[in-house]
Amino acid sequence: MPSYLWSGTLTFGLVTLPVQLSPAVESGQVSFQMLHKKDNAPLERKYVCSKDDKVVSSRQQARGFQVGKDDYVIITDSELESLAPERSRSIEIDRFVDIDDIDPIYFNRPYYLVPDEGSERPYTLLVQALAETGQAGIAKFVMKAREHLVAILAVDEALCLITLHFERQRVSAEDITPGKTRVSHDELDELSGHIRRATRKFDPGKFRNEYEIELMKIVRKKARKEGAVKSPKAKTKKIKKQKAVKKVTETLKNIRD
Amino acid sequence: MDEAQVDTERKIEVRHFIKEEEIDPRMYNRPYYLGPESGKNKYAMIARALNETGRIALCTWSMRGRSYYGALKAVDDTLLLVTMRHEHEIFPVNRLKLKKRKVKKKELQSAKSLIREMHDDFDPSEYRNEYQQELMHFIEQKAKGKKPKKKRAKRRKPTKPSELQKMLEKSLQEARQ
Repeated sequence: MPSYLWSGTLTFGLVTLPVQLSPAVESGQVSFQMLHKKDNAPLERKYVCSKDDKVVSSRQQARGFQVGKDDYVIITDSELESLAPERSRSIEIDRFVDIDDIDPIYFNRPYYLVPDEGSERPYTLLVQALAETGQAGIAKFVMKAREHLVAILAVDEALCLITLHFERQRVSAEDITPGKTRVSHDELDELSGHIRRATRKFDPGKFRNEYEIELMKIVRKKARKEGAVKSPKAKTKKIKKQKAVKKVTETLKNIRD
Repeated sequence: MDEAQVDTERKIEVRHFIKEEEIDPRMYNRPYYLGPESGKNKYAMIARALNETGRIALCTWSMRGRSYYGALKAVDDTLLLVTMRHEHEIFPVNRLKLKKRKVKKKELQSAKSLIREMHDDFDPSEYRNEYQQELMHFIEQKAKGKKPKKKRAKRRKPTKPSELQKMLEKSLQEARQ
C-alpha cells in the first residue's frame, strides 16, 4: 500500500468522513539509483550547511523567507498550519459540476481518497452517487503549505482527487490563436466527416512508452552480460545473474502490457 | 542511455480520433498550446472541425529522444495538446484494498438529490489561491516584529453511520434554502 500524503476530513453537505490521501500515479516505472562510482555504494540526498559543510538533520532545519541578502523571516510548521486551519484539515465540497465541464487544461495531478475504518459507508455512497450522476465535487484545501483547487470524482469504485490549476496560472492563448481566418465550408464538412469516420474506441494500452521499453531492454542486456553489482560493504548476499535478469524482465513486462 | 533514444522527428502524428468522455482524467498530464507557424487557414479549420465534431485527436510524437502521446483538442479557436500518462503509470484502485459496503437505496437517492441541489457551473475564475496571500501577510507581520495571532481549527466530527440518512436530509433542506 502506498504511503499517505495527507489526512483529514472530507465534507459534502453536512456529511463528514475522515479520509487519507494517497498518490494515484507514479511518473514512469524506470528510475535509477545513483551510486558512488568507486565502490557502487548508493548515494543519498542530504542538506549540507553552507557555513561548515556538515549534514543538517531534518530536526535542525528551519524555514526562512528571504528578505535581504542574508536576512530571513522564520516561519514554523505550526504557523503555516495556523494560517488556514480549516482548509489544512478538511476538504469541503462547495459545489458539484459536470465532469465534462472541466476543461483538461486544468487537470494537474491525481490522487486517491481512502476512507478511515468505520467510514466506508458514506464513502461508498459518495462514489456511487458521483458515478451515477457524472458529477465531480469542487473544493479547496491546503496540503504541505500549498493551497489546491481540486475535483473529486468516482473512478473504478474509488474517490479520485485531481488537483486543478488555478485560473491565474493559465497562460493566455491570445498570442497563439490565429486571428480571423476564412474557412471553406466544403472543406470543413469534408474534414469533419473524415474525423467522424476515423473515430475509434480509446484503448490506452495501445500507447506504450517506447523510450522506457528500449531503456529496459538495454538494462536487461547488461544484466545478462554482467549481472548485478553492489557495494563490497553491503551486508546482503550477492544475487545471481539469473535473478537480476528476471527482475528486469518483470519491469519490462509491466511497461509493455 | 543514448541507445534507448527514439528517433526525433519534427512532426506530431494524429493516430485516430476519440470521444473526449472516453479519456480517464487520471491520464491527463501537462497541457500545451499549439500555435501555427504558417498555414493559419488549415490550423483554424482543424480547430473548427474538432469543435464541431466534439472529438479529440490522439497524437504521438517524440521530443529530445523520448516518445510521447497526447490528446489534441480545440479550446475555442486554439489547439491544445495535453500529454497523457501511460496506463502503467497509474496505480490501480484495487491496490487501495477498499472495503465495500452496501448502500441503502434511500441514502443513494438522497445523496443524488443533494448533488443535484448543489450543482453549479464550473467557473475556475471564482477560485483564488488565498493561502499564498495570507502567507505573505503573515510574513509581513512577523518581519515588522508583531506576533500574528494563530487561528485554531474546529475539528469536524465524522458522521455516524446511523445518522447518515438524517444528515443527508438535513443537508438537502439547507441546500434548498
